[in-house]
Amino acid sequence: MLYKLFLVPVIIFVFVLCPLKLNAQYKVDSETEALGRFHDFSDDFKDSRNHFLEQYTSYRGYYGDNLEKFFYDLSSLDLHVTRDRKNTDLLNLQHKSVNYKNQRNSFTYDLGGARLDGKLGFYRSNTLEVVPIADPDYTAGGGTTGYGSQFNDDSGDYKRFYKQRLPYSLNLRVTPSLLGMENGWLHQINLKYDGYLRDGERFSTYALGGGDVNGPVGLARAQQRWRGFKQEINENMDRVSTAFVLTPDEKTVINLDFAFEHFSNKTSETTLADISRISGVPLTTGATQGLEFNNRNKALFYVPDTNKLYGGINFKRKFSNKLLVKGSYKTSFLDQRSFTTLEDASRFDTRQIINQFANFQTSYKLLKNLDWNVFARYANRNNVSEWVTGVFTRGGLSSPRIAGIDNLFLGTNFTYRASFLSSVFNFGYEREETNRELDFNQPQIEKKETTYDEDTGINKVFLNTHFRPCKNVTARINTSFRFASQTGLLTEPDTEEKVKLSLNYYNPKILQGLHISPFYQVKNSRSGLFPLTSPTTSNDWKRDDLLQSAGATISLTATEKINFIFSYFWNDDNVNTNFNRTTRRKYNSTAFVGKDAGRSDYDVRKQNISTSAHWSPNEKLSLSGAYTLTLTDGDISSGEVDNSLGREGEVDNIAHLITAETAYNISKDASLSAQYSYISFDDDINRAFSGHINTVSFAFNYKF
Amino acid sequence: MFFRVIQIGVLLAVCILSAAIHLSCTSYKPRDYTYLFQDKITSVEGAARVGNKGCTRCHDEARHLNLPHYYKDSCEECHGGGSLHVGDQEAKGKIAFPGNDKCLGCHEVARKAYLFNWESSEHERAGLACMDCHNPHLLKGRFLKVNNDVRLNKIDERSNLCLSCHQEILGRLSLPSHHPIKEGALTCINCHNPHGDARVGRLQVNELCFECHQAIQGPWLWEHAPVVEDCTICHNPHGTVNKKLQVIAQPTLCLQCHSLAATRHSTTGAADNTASIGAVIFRDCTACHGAIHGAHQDQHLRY
Repeated sequence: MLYKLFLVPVIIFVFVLCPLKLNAQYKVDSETEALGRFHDFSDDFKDSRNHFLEQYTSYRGYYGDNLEKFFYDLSSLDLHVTRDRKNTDLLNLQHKSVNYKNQRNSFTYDLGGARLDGKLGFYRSNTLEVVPIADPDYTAGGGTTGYGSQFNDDSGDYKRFYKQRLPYSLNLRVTPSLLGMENGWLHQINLKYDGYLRDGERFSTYALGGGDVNGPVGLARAQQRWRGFKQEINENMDRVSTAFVLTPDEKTVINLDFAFEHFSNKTSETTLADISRISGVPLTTGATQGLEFNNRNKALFYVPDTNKLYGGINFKRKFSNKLLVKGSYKTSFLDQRSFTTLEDASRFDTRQIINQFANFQTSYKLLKNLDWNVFARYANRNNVSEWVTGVFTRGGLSSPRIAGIDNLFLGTNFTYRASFLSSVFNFGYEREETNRELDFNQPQIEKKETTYDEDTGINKVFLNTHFRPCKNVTARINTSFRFASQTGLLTEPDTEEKVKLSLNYYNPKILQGLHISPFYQVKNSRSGLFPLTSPTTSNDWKRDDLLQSAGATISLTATEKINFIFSYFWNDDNVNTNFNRTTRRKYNSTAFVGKDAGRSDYDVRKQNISTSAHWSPNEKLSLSGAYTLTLTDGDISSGEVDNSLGREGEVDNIAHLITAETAYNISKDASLSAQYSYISFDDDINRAFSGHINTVSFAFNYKF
Repeated sequence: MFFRVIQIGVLLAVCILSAAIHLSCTSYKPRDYTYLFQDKITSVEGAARVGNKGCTRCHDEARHLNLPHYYKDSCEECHGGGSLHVGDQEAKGKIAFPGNDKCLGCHEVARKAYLFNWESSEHERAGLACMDCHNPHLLKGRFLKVNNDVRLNKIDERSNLCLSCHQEILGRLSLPSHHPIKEGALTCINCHNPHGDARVGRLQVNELCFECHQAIQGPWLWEHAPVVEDCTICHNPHGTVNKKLQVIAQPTLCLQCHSLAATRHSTTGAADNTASIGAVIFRDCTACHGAIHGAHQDQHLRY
């Protein structure tokens, strides 16, 4: 019920601050709306099931989460209060409400020498988590044998999963002149407190180990392994940070940053024994060193409390008007503060991650319009966590673990600003080297037998250009080419080309104003530096990736009373990758590796067409309408994988959004409005996603 | 076929519009925008000051606003002497416009604090001017230019402005799975500093994600190595057609790097390539390996 807190700022805004409008020093823009909504849902949009269509837009009313056909909404209040006394102080208050589950508040109080900012928000999203797994029509697979043949839903019939987040912050910025310290090095102090509350629930799915379930070996036991349950989420993060700006002399600036962050998970630990109590699934005890090391005490999806310390120093110095030198050093220390029952029982209390970062860069003005920049960055991450003696050991490690990672990034670039077409050319070269300290558990596994490697070396050359060829036109062409001498994992490309083109054109003389902004982007990358071998076959571990997107927006103001927007967006992700099967979980000297000769091809396209129009025939009446069409189609795989998935290997859906609205101004401050909207989502592959909503809403709007 | 027709139509429209713009440009004398990049070009040779009264005779709107940038004779602080401009109103070029250095010359505090990395920032290197995003003629605290895209009625006004240029991101945000930026729950500047240098802003990409997603930052006893490296290996934060911002759908996403181990995944007869793969894995790998970001108690990242 935390969101009830939002009534407090709303009441303060309405009853305390709005009367300030009577004072000439204040500028108050506010608008409130009393809204009634009638919903008509398609039959498959039942109140017992969460729905894809309301993933980002909640259709909940004030009185709980029971989806009713009508609800009223008084929370839609937008308020903006500004107080400004000619550069002496400024007060800025804002409340913006989209609906009951999506609200934001902010305030600023600026005295010149000091400034206080605050923010408080609330947002709820619904998550469609159950349908893809529990719906037997959703996807093929599972078969009639093994643990995949039965999914056990321990959440009961609960399917309304949601998450909500309440972020908050308070920021105080002070200049030393306010404290009477204007003659020292100190230039500015910044104190910030921020954090969030996050609660809700998720559908957590998992598979128990073969040895976790008790009973005679066979299908009945295996079918108890694949499960899911409703897991509560209740998290809180609080962070305090400070920043000091120091200016030893006019050409030097030093920034010091410090932060402390505490994250706490307020939900209690869920163990296998808890699941057993809910579902009755028999568990093995698996006792190893006493009762506390019982299998039943294993935690499910344990999220620990953590503390994080952060510190950084940045410096910048100008040498004459030609040379600028900058550098920084930052470090963070993440420390786990709570542990599972099993870890507590073994008195285990050390799990930490240390990050370090340093960079150095120079900028030199070679000519009036030519800058030369040199950049170097070093980053290091160390996982100093230890294994829990006697409980969880390194022997269980089934995939590489990165104990340490070093990253060195070097680059140089030139920036040339030409009077020719008022253009900017930025061209340069970058080199990135990564070294990983990998823990494989089994030392006998050779590097060639894993798809993770220790070293990466990538080169990149780029040319970015920006033109202003004439008034109201800007054009951008960005190109880059990457080539690697060594890559550490498949998603790092050996070669990659990238091109980005965009244009912005605005002409206020075409009717009342025309704005056009087309763009096109393409990225083509290839990976193939993993010659995986086994006693039975050699394999080329390859990946080809072609991502493209294009679109344009045209906005036309035909007259003062009519405007029109049309936009189109097209996106095509085409990834051609591997499908390999082995007889073992890890690649070692005895593993058989079989590959799909056709490889697996993911190719999904998306198109979005949107158009809207607004017309005000007279000062009192306005009409507007919009239509959005979204089409998605393609295949998520090909070859053997696609053959097994059948129809579920495809993506094919279409969405429509139609809105029509009319508003009538009763007086200068009051208006009535009515809106109709139709949202439809039709999924040809997964029918459970399909549905539609008709909504009619009426609102009384008052500006005060 | 329908897609192709639309694509071809749009490409043709883009070509025609580009040609139209090119033709209109050729008949227009390009304006010299280099002032945006030069130091303190805020005067016009031979022009004398006329005072604010001279300006507000035509620019009436400035007189009535309570503007922090508007005080006695302040117009010519930024625009230079206006005598030539006032004398010949058709000659708009005879008035100066301030470049970035002029803005930064006064906003010294900002330059030393949140504009610390402006000189090497992406926007500066791309040639953007302060006034591409800010309008100094607006009220204090409301300097940001307004982009009135009525389709984005829920969005934060700062994000709305970013998306007026970054159209490809606006397209991404219309995909079925996206960060709720269009819905206003967060803004572009929660992750991106428009005045900053992305190369030095954070310790690593993941640290940026973990500013809000602490629940998956660990530390984990059993890690998933790509999670340690870079969240964007599996997720596109702006939007994807796949659930949970996955760059490609499961199981293909996982099978890029992982082989399907036959005896462990309800597959049968995987010792050759002829048997069918009627496996549970096709209901999503994470349906069983739910602790995909890391685990404390299961080495296979199942729980």
